Amino acid sequence: MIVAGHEANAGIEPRVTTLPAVPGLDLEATVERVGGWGGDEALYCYFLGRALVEAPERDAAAARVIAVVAGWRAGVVALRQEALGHLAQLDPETAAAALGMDSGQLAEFTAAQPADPFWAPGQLGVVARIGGFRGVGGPWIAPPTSAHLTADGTVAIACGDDLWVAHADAFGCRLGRVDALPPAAANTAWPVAEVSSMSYLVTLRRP
Amino acid sequence: MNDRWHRLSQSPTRSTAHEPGQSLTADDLFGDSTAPAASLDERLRQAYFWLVNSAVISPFYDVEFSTDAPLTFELGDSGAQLQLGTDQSYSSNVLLPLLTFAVGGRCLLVGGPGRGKTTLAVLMGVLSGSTPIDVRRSVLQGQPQLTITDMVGTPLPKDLLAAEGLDDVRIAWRRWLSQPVKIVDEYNRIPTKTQSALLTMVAEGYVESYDQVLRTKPEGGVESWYFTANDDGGGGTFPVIQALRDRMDVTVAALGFNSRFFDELVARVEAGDRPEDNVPAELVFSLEDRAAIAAEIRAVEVPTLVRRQLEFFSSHFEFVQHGGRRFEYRTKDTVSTAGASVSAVIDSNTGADLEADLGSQTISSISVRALQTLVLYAKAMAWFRGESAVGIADVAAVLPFVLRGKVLPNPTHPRFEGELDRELATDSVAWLTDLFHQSVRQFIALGLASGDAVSEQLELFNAGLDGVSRVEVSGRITKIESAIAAIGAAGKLYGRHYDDLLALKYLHQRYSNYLRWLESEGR
Repeated sequence: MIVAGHEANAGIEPRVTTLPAVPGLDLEATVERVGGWGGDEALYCYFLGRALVEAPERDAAAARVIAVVAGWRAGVVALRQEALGHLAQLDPETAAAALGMDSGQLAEFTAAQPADPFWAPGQLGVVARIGGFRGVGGPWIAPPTSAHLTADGTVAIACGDDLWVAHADAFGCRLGRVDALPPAAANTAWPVAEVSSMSYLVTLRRP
Repeated sequence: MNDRWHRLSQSPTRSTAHEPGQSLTADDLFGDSTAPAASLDERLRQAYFWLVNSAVISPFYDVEFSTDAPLTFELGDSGAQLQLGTDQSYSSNVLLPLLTFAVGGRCLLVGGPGRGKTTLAVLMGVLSGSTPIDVRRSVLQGQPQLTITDMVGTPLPKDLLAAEGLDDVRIAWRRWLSQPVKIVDEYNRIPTKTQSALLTMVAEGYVESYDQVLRTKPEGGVESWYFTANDDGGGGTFPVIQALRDRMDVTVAALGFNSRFFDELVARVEAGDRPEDNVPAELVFSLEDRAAIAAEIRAVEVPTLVRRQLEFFSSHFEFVQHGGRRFEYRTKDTVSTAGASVSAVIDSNTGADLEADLGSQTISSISVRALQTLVLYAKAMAWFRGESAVGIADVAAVLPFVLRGKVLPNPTHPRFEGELDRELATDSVAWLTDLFHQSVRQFIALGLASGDAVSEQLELFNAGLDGVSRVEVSGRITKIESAIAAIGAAGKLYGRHYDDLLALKYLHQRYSNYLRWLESEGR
């Protein structure tokens, strides 16, 4: 069965680990917040744990930045600006571990992100599937009838009379209701949004 | 305090998770951003949830809100339906008293004995900061021997003996008069003469005895009144005078007890607990809090489209064809003050489309006082839900409770004889709600959402007459006369036409006066 999710997470099996302790920081509390903001708690612990192990200095300042990056990587779209703004403070291996990529891909990734928030290394075809049937935890009780990308990179979705906007990027998605859909904008650098009468998911796909 | 009573709903009680598109920082992730103190609407919602979940156990959600289409189940073979709202919904018998607490209004609680009417009112008193003992002692108990002196207080005997004039007589005012929450239990058992004295307090906020006046409303504060009655018709020992009945801002029924929650009753019997003795301190509102709440509520915006729909709704009910000869006097009020039957006059208007004519369903109109109350409670509803502007759903939620007992059904209307709608004759809340929704549908069907000629004329006039030439004014007058002729040619007149025609006459008069002035000034 096809479920909602981002292709960047395909093949990742986050093993539950105990988070390393960082003096002065309550990392356990951040796990719950990430989950509340739409992120995947298991992925967050996985990337955060790997990066903390990789980090040369496990002080509070560095750990805060690592946590923000790992939270973004785990699907909290709202942490994207904060993560990109502080990523350079981390050494490449730590940053790459928090992002779940090889250190050699990091430069290309950070260069591409400002223009294309949906880009991730090795991406082909499907970027993400968002939404889903409310009965299994999704937001919708009817399949979406139309979807398009807008000028600011959000995804405008209509489910009959219900109108939604998704704030999505390479790692996560956050949906919210709106009274009116913003107009479509053509940006060939971005994926296109597809709907199907047979599915409760909106697919973001690179042509 | 028994911990069973101290379970407060966690904030936020109304989902305010970060909005999609809003950015978060490391401070948010690590909880370093200082959480603001709970807002007043958040505190009132916490009070609401404590009341329904712990105090009076009211598992009802009859004030429904939905973000998308509510799920509806057809039940049995008698047309019953159960709706599941998709947004936070509320129990009317707790929500309306709480909104009354917030706005400083007057709430009538009706229902059979032992349904928690007085308990709810006492809880409102404790929420205002009074002790449970003070609140219970201050309840004015309606009984047939209650005199004005019993109600307000007695003159000091030594002053009576020594006084040379009424100014010299001091009154030992009764304590309940200065309480921020005033409770009158079984108000329909108060004699009519005493009801009149009560009316002055309720309507004007003061009481007078021996020429001495006491202001009952706290200085700079908010005063709320709660009345209880055992049945809505005022049937008790004495009929309630219409003027006092009309002062009730909202009328709400105390709902029954759901037997599935019996275990809590058993627990209370075993513990000897009463909810008013266990109100968490965090839920108490000071005088300043209540004044701030009332001010915030009044500041909630009423958008133009909502206002227009309210205007349209209220326009249905004043007019009755054949109510009088002069057009302005063709009203239900003309008929009822003449002692005639409004139903009979409505019936005599043959050929009217009774389905389209919403006014034919009522024998009374909506007073200005009721409309003002409706606006205030709609604002309170929106504020309570954390909204910055009134929505049509907020109006629909409070309207039946505001208009109950004020807008009376026409018993001879075919609607109440039909198989499908017979229950509306006894369920006035459902009837008023349906009446409002019919009005909203008519408003949309007539295309009034995008504007109408009379509104445009009024807006043009309200822009002012400075610099408007004689030619322009003459043109506007001609347009008004054409609009009146167009309405008149449509055939049957309904309530909305009445208000429109009188508004056009108003404009015609104002422009004509201005034109005469221009001519006299030689301009």
